Amino acid sequence: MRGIQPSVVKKPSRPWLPSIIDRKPVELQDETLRDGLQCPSVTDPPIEEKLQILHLMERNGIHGADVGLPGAGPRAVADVTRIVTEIVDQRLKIKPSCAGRTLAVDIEPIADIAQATGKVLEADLFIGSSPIRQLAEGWDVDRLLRTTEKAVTYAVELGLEVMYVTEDTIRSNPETLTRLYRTAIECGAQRICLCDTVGHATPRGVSRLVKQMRKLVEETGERVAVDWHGHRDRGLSVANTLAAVEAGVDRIHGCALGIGERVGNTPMELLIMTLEDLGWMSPDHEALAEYVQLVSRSCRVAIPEGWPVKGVNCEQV
Amino acid sequence: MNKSSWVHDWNVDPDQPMEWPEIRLWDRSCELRGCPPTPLWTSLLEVHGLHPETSARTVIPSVARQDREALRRAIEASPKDHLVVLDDHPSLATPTEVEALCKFALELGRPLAWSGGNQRGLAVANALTAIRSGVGTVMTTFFGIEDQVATDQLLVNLALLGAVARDAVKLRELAEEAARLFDYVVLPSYPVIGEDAFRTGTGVHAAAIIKAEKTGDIELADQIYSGVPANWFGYEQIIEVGPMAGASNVMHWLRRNGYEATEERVGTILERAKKSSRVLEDTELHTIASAEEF
Repeated sequence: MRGIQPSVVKKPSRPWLPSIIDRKPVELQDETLRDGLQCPSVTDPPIEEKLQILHLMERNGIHGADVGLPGAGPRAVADVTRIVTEIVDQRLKIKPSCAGRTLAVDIEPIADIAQATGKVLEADLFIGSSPIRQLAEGWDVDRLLRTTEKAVTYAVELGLEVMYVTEDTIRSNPETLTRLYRTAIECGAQRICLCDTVGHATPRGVSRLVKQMRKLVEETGERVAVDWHGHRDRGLSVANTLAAVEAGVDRIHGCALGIGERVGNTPMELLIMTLEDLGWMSPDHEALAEYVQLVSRSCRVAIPEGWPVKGVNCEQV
Repeated sequence: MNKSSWVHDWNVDPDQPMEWPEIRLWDRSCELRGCPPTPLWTSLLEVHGLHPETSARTVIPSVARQDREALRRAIEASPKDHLVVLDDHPSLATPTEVEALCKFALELGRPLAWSGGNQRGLAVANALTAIRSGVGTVMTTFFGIEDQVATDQLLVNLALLGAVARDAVKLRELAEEAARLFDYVVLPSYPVIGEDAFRTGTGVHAAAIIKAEKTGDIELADQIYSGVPANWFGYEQIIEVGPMAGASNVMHWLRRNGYEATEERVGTILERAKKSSRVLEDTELHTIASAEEF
């Protein structure tokens, strides 16, 4: 698996950090072009600028990108198709995925794009799993299970790789999560995603959740990867993601400048810089600055004062 | 379903209940900004127990880079009547490191305080870790100005964790005075206080909030898609209409603004929203909704 390897070079001195040299690689998943654009203050950039952002993701060594939610409408379909075509034509290594609800009406456009572009796509299919969500929607667990089974099976039949996502995992019952994830894995999901959709998590909670779900995956005997997706509502997103890494996730999600739903997602550049501090990455600082500045300009999002990316000036747009 | 079963909270470990030491947040905003406090600011700090201390102190900088022996020597060399400040500037520490070095430092029996920066987005987590490890005094500034841990974000987290009473946190008042006093522009993406903190234009999110509102339970609606309950801190949930909206977003806006949510009106607005590259302004929505064709 292409991923970030802990380096044998220890830099700088970290006397209070336990050894992580034997930790398995972790991958980066960029949500800027999907969750990022759900921020109510951002402007959805024109497709040409989305392609530039995509290329900067590639230059920054980001492994995967959620490039949109085609079920949102024709504009989303057009943009996602163009982005995936770019990845194919330019032979980019970055792996594209698309978000969608666990509904045929969201799954089918993803499959259509995969067919049209000839690129195998990952479908990131999400369903609300928390009791509070069930209460508001009038759902019971059996309905969640039936929906999951139908959606994942259908997506797999259509040739999609499936990442199965429970929304608000951090506030969901362990028993419900176990049943949902098991069902998804049995139906062919290759990846599961644990989410702090509402920005409730603390590092301690993340650690407990990830460890238990990792154990579940091991018990299935299937080769299924585990993702962590977090938000910034409590100012804990980077810490939560580090906790997820320490607990054993395979891939972590972030967005440039931390844009995203409400106050946003885990800032990708802070994740990259933290991984650099730990000796796990040697990023191209110029590419990182360009990535941040381009997203700022294209999405019309201000860079906060003192944002710690080398070469980036605070810009009020 | 009663409220106690709304949520299974993975943050809570029944086998390891959270214990809190006496917590003191030492807000240094005026000191570090170099501006005198207003009477209102002084009063607000006092009400929240945030007023700065005047203890003599010894600061140990780059604390996460000091090994055990260096840290021991630095602490033992400081005058006995000094507060020893474990200072993580330039910020490097992760919460794992903070826990380890705080527990070690506490064994030396000196009064301690934590001070840290936010260069990696870890300031709040590190401060909470220092507090839970037993270092109850933390140096902060409002909005995290001058690269310190943000008083406001720490208060929010301590209220959510049950370490301080949520009724005791008058966040909006503090934020409004702090923004004036320190000439601070609060970006929309700033946690809790920023304009986007409780705002969504996404169809799935909005639909769930609206369904929850229809139950008549305001708390349910406030918490269904928000880890921080807006009403705890004087805010409320806002639903917008933009390219990611669904019919629910539009119907919600129409009803709130006194329009009949006919199929035609909803369809026209939704079509316009889907073609937009951003959330629509109220003025734009009024123009469409009040068109003669309806």
